[in-house]
Amino acid sequence: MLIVDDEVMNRDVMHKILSKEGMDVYEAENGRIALDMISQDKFDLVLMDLMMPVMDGFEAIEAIRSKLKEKMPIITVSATNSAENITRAKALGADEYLMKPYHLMTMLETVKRVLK
Amino acid sequence: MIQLLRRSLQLRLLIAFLLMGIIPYLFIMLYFTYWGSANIIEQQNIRYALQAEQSKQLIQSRIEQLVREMQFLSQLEIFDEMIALDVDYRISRLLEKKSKIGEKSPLLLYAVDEKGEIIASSSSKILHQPYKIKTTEAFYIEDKVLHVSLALYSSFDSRSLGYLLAEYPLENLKQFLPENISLRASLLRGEKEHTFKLEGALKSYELFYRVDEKSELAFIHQFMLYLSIVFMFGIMLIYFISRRLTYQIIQPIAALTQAAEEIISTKNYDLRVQNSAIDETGTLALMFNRLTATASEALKSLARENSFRMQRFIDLTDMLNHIARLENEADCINVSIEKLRAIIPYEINFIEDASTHHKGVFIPLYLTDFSSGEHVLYGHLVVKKDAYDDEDEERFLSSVAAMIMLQIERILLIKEIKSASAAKSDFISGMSHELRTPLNAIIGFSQYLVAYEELNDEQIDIIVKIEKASVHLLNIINDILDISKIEAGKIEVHVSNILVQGILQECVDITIPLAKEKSLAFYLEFESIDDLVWRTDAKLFKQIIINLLSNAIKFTNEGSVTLNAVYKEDKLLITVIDTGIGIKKESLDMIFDAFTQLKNAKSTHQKGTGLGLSLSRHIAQTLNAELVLESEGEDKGSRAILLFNP
Repeated sequence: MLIVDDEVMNRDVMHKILSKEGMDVYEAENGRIALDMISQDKFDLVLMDLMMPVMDGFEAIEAIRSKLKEKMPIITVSATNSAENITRAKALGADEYLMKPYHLMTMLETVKRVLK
Repeated sequence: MIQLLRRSLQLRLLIAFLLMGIIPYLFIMLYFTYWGSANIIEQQNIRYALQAEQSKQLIQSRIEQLVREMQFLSQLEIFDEMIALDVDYRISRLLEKKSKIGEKSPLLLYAVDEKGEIIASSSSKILHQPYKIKTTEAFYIEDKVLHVSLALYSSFDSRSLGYLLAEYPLENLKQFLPENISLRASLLRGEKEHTFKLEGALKSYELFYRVDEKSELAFIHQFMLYLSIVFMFGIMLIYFISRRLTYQIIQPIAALTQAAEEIISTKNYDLRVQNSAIDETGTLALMFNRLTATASEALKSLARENSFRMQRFIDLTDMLNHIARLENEADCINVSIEKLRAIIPYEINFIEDASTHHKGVFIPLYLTDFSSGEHVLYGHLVVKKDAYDDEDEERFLSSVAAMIMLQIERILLIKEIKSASAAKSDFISGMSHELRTPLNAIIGFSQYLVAYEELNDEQIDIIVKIEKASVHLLNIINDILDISKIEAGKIEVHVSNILVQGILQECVDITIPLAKEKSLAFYLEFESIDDLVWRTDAKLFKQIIINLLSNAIKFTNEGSVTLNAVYKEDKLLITVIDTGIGIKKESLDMIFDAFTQLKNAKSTHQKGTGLGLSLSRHIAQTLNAELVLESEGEDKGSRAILLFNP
């Protein structure tokens, strides 16, 4: 799975947890890099932060869905929790929305749910 | 009556004129009535008396004359012849001669002898008639004839020869009597008669006259009648003339009065009085008209001025209304100038820099700087004229300038507020992200350690503490951000139909662990809310309920927490009751203030941001509900009452 977030610490936390759960975790700093990586490899899940430089989460999600036509599940993870953003993300093609900071359990639950 | 006179000049004039005509007449009449007649009567009396006296004298002298003549006759020797014959024609002829005294009724003279035989007479008729000696008196009157008898004596031996008799009809005395005096036998004196007793032979007779007042006064009465008639005509003439004159005085006055009344009632100051006379009344009318004209002019001028000012006022208000809605300084200035140009007749401009070459009257515009409170020069209004017309105009323009600046200040203020608000919102949303990120790391890693790493109990304990502290911090941040959002009006409210019971149950599920941790009993009291659906924001609703429940649990160390929900009369009432440390009555007001946590003897440092109730109140307001906190006092528990109106 691909973790997309501009903050190294956020990526770190998620990486550690998911690794411990036995998943293969990759990281991308921003939307652009994420797109490059997705276009080259296959991922089962994308955890997408929304607020990022260069290319933000919205743009990336849109690109993944329309340009790359990838159908894997995308969970948006963001510190902002406005309904507006949630709706917009979901409209662009996100499947789930996680709010930062998230409870460990909640995150795992969501991930597992989505992978099914 | 006096009132009537006081009120009517016309009446007074009329009466005056009439009196002037009547009074002379009245005096004349008075005179005649009381004194005139009496005088006249008396005059007449005197005159008649004189006449009577005169007549009396005449009559008496006549009689005396007659007697003398008879005496003379009687002494004539001719009478000696009486005894000679039966009838003596000589004596008769003598007597006849003598009797012709030319009076109306003939005088009878005859001689009677001793035997009573008429021997001579002036009238042949009574010759040979026997003569009765009636009386021995020398005189007696019978049948209005005066009988005079004189004894005849012979001239020889003075022997009585007989008598010489005369019968003198009293009628003849009438010649001596003027018209109104009559002769009659004495009567009892009458009132209106004036009598003069005669003497001598006629002593039984008197003269009398009546003063016939009527006839005496006839003249006077006639005169008075004539006078009255003249007076009647005179009065009528006076009346008509006086009416005419009075009219000439009163009519102009009345006309003026009427004109004044009409002007007062119709407010038509162009009304004029018609009067073509050139006397005093004409002058009065002329002056009245001029006065009215002056007043009319003055009023018109005032009205014009008033109208002008009113118009100015309206224009000004209109201008202010316009600029009040503007949100842009430049617009404000431009619109103001535009409107002002319509109001004042001069060219007016706005200039920022006073040093440019504009000429005219400069009106400075001052702004109040918000922060320093100082007056700052914003610019100038330039009016293209040399000087102000008058003080009023100067004041007017200054006021206008001040008002414009007020609007400008307002606009600037609004701008500032908006930008401050925008800055704050941006800051908040920025902060939101900034704050959450590191916390995410802290919480995440802490949880990771506990979940995935091998740690001893002590280490786990420490890390859990770290996590709890971080979560606490996170809650504070969330509360702050929520309150800020609500205050900035940026909270999003998504109204939907919620199943009340379901949501409440969710809240309970979330908070009941906390209660269990403190070994508190948790009670639910639901009434009539089984299928209740309420239209509100689910998230906020949950938030506030959870908030109140966790607050209750937090401040209760032993006992219970009860969630009570009732639906009655279209209202939803939710109460959270606890048996906790309660709130002092004095503190009830403060409790909703942000960051207040009440100092309480028993309260140790309570977990909580101090924002809980404040946030709850904000949420309640947003949801259109009322939140009230009640407590009997310290240690007496408290109740949080949330009332949702339909």
